[in-house]
Amino acid sequence: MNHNTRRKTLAGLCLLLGALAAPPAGADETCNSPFMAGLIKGQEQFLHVWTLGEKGVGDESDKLVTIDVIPGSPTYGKVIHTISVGGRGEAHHMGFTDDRKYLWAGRLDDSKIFVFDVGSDPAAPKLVKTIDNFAESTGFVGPHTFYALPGRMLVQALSNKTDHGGATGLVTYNNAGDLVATTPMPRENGGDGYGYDIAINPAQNRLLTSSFTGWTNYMMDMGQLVQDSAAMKNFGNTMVLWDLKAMKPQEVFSVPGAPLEIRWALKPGVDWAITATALTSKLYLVKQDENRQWRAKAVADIGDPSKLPLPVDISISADAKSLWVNTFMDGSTRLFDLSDPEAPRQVYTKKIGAQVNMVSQSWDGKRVYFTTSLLANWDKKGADNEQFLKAYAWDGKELTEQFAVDFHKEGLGRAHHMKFTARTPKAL
Amino acid sequence: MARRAAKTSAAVLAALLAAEASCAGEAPLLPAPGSYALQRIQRTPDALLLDAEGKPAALSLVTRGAVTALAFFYAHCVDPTGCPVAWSTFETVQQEASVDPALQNKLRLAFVSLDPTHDGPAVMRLLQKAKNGAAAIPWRFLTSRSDAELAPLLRALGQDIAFERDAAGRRGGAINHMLKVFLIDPDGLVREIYTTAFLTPQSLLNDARTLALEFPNARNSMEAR
Repeated sequence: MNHNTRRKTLAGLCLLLGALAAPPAGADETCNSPFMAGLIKGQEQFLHVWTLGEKGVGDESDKLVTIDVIPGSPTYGKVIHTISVGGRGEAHHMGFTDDRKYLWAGRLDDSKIFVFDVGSDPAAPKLVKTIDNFAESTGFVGPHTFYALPGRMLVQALSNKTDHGGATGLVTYNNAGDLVATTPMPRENGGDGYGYDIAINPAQNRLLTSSFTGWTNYMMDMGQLVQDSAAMKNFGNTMVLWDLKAMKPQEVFSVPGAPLEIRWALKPGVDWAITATALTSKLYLVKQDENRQWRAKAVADIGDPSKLPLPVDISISADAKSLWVNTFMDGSTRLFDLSDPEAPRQVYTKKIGAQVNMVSQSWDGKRVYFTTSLLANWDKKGADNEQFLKAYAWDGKELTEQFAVDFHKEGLGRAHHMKFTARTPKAL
Repeated sequence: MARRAAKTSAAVLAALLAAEASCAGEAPLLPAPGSYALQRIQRTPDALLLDAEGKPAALSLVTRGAVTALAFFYAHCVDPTGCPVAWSTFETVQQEASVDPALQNKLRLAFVSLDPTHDGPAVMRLLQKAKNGAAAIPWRFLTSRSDAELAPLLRALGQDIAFERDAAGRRGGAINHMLKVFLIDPDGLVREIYTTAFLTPQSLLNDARTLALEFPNARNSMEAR
């Protein structure tokens, strides 16, 4: 091999390695941790729904519900497995370990964390561990976001056990469930101490967090809460940019109105993130300015902010060109064109039901799933308390319903967070 | 068989050596060494392995007393996101740490084979000889007596592997595994784990320097074990 040939070979290898080493994070296949293996870039096979037990519905217990989503399967669109964990503790969000073999699921009220084995047989998850000393061992309450680090799980809490307010922190466990570290959210230099979501950009060594509210508020009846002016002041108004390696806050951004889910653009070399504010109904962009200073700025309204549409979950496409945004109050999903992230444009909307909260899309964006429950005491009442999973096909122009599972008729409860699995995930 | 395996490994090694280490990804923005503390993730489990001479070697004796970067590999691995990335990274780390006063007497590198069937001590000896020339940083190559003896170590470290099998269930050559590199402190605690999304020579060197500052008495000579 002569020198030039060797250089070309090396350059090709470098390009290949560079492409493969790009952050593989992704839509709810894209919102997983970039440190997680086995992204499903083809057809997901099973959809797991972390479901809140509901009084008068089935066994009334929180449970992990598994639904077959393999097209052509005899049980396509059907519930094929449930595993009740006992009690109602405000089941909320889930996250895979770095090897995608275990799914950690949290409860915001009693702060229990359940670890399910979804690697051995994703069609029939097994509960293998329960962490029931979260509050006692960390001082924090409400384990919300579960985000894989290599060999570890980073957990964002929502509250604290001292006053059940919004001051909280981050907790690191190793994959065996042993506590490794606790890190309080910053309360100086503009920090309000609140927490909600986690999103990491490994190439920039940057961690972003957002802020919601404490136990007192998220466990309060929503009708009562919105009438309580003092309580309504107790929401987060910040995002924090951290040095991931050092786990130290670097910048606190003013983002009024409870910024919730955070999504980094997944396109290699593009370093910006987007979030939606629940109470002020805006999309915020976090990006470096011309002086390479990180900034957060409002870039679009979501619906009519004066009508409090209450934006909840968002899901970014793998190419970072579009973003699904759900608005809970009108039960609608909205698609924003992110071709220019500085000026997102709503290009499509569809009513999903009387209420809608979570949205998860496949890596290719062709399948989009929706669930309904926000929090047990924030869900709508009476006939508007629809609880379902709906699956849609997206052809770039229209959402077409493929199947629906009525979580009340099936005796399941309130449908909340979704995660995909497949029997043979293709490793990157 | 062993001779053929050694020749195959030598060919793979030659190809790997041809890939210059400079193709590692761009360094992330990292804090200064010593300005941060690495988490104590877990204790490194001990395991009885085989060294390049075929002698029993406890993993703890390889890692104790030094800052150690450890990765699992197998000699005929060609997955571009797997072993070649670890090779490339370790080569750069070895070169740079060998001329860095902060690391040259404190850092060890260790590769442990995932394939004891094909990667016997003869292969390890070949690789170890190739990678321990003028460099000050020792790079140890270890294998084990069997898959069964290696399995508890892999499980305890969360190093997931799966053997490629044909339709009849017969094992093929590939071992699917998620690349992980473990940075271990002189007391035997895993202080960082790197996967493909996170592994660069710069980040590994930065963390190794941080541990070197935390453990000023660390020594990488095998006599210091």
